[in-house]
Amino acid sequence: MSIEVSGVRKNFGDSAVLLGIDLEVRSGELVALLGPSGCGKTTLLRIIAGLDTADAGLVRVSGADASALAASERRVGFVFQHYALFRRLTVFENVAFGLRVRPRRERHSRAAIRERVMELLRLVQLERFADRTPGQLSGGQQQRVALARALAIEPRILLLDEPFGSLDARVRRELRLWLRRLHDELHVTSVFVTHDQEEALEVADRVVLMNAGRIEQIGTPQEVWEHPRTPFVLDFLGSVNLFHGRVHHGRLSIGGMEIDVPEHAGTHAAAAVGYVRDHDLDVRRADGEDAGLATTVLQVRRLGPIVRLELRRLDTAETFEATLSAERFCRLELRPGETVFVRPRRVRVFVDGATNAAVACTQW
Amino acid sequence: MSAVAAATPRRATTDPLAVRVLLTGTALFFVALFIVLPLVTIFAGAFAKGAGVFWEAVRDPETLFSVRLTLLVTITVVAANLVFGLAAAWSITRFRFPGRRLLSSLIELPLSISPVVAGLVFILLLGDAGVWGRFLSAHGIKVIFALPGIILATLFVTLPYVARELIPLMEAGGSQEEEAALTLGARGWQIFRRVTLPNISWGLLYGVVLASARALGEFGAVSVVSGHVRGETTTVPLQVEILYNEYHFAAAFAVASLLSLLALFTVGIKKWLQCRAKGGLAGRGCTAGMAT
Repeated sequence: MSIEVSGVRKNFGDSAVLLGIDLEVRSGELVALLGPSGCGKTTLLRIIAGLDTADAGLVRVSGADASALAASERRVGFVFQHYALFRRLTVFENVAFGLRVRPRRERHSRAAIRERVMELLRLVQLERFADRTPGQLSGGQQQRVALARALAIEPRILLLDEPFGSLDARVRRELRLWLRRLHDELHVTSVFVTHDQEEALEVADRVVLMNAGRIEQIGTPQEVWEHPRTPFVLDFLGSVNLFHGRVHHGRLSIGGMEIDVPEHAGTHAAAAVGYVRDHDLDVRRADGEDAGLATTVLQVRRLGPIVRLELRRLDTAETFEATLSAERFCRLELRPGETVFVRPRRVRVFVDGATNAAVACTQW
Repeated sequence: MSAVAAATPRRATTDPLAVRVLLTGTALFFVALFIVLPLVTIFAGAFAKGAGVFWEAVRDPETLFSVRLTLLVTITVVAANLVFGLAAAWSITRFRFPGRRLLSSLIELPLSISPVVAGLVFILLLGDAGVWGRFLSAHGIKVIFALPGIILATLFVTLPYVARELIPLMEAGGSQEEEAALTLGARGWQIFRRVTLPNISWGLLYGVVLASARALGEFGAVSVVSGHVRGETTTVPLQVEILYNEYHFAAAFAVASLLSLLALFTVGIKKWLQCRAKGGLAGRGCTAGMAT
């Protein structure tokens, strides 16, 4: 079932939460709504579910206007961040809930309900826990119960609000990969909200980046990673350093460093910002043919396979971060206080005032 | 596990022995003086002239009437309280509307108003000289110095109890379970019966017990609106007063002991409910709750 959101707006009191959202989710897709907290992603999800109403705009589910239907009639599976399991009911009864509250003529027999619930519990690998209460389960198990409960009503679409948000890092990762496999099996059109870029990029077919009530970019994980359309997207998807400089006839100058940006060949003496991801910075002991930025090593932090350097520019005293592989770091034998030269392998340039960005790859 | 529990861990905030003895002693002294002693006195007084006099007093038709009246008032008031408490708690915790905070503060007002004042207000409003009283008496409806007045006055003083128990409970529980039920296709009544009610049932019962206890023993407000019409508007507390004023001390104490028994019974139920509410489904934590 496809979902179409057009022109959806929402205010809470004086503050505008959604400023005109247009979005299409294709049938069978798994889409991530990604953005910082307060960007409106949860509100959008709740509007699609019918738990909130939009001030303006339309939500269509497989072509039909959904706003005519109450939340209880939409057959939308909704998974809450804090599980929202029924505390007083067993795992079995939680999953059976949606089947038991159906109007009598649509309701399955007791035996059929039992069979369906056990089948779902097997799907989420919790059949042994059928008689427990939610309080006796771990967070990850509770969230799987919540998912089984949502799937029990054979939802037309599945909506997940920060489904892994309150789990610890390890369980989180396991569960999201499991969700992806489950989705590949069931093909229910699904939308999940997250503020974790890694989660979105790893699991989703397409990522919708939201900021301050607007959609910044929609694309496959690779598209948004390789071709971020706005500084926000670039910044949000990974740790990025900003270098202020000028672009003139296809050359970006930052301090004493010059980088070719052929995409901006037509730009004359404009202020620009170069965005460089911290792993796209090349760090050298000696300056090469192309001048790099001279910096002092302030701090070295080892994080398993990578090493993070905190650097300070000698010219402007601005600090920024670079990430190296542990291997490369060992060869350089860097210590705090030493001077090194830094040059971006890849920089994305946003000329002030212009929204379209260009990416430049330079090789040292 | 048991080995760890056996060695009592030293708490970081252990007070000196003298302080502990002094504080505990003070508390015990007041409990003995104001609770245990009066209770003993009541039962001693009730049986002072022997069990025969006690039974005589309890079986007196006027006393039996007052017991029936009090039970009738209590049942009516508690039922009304249930409806009001649920409605108030639901609207305050689930809806956002102007005056919401004011409403939740106003609910507590009867707790701080003297019951006698409350009774007087009803007389001024509904008595023969009152604004609505004239309308009521013109239509032959008697509220003041009659059963409806007693019920109204009791309702006023007990109004906060159920709502006060439910509001924090429903506030803490949030509305996510209800939203989940909604997305699963449940309708209003189904959500209430299958999700909301099980979550608040213990708090609800607790509020009912508190309201009942208060309704059974209410004297001030009822005394004002009842007019002390013998065999018509004398509830148990009023009956105790009448007997006492007429120097039937043993009888007064006998009836008072009935009320005290009811009070003790309520305290027992209250304690049990608190344990159940804490222990959740299995009722665990009850013994632990008693011990600490």
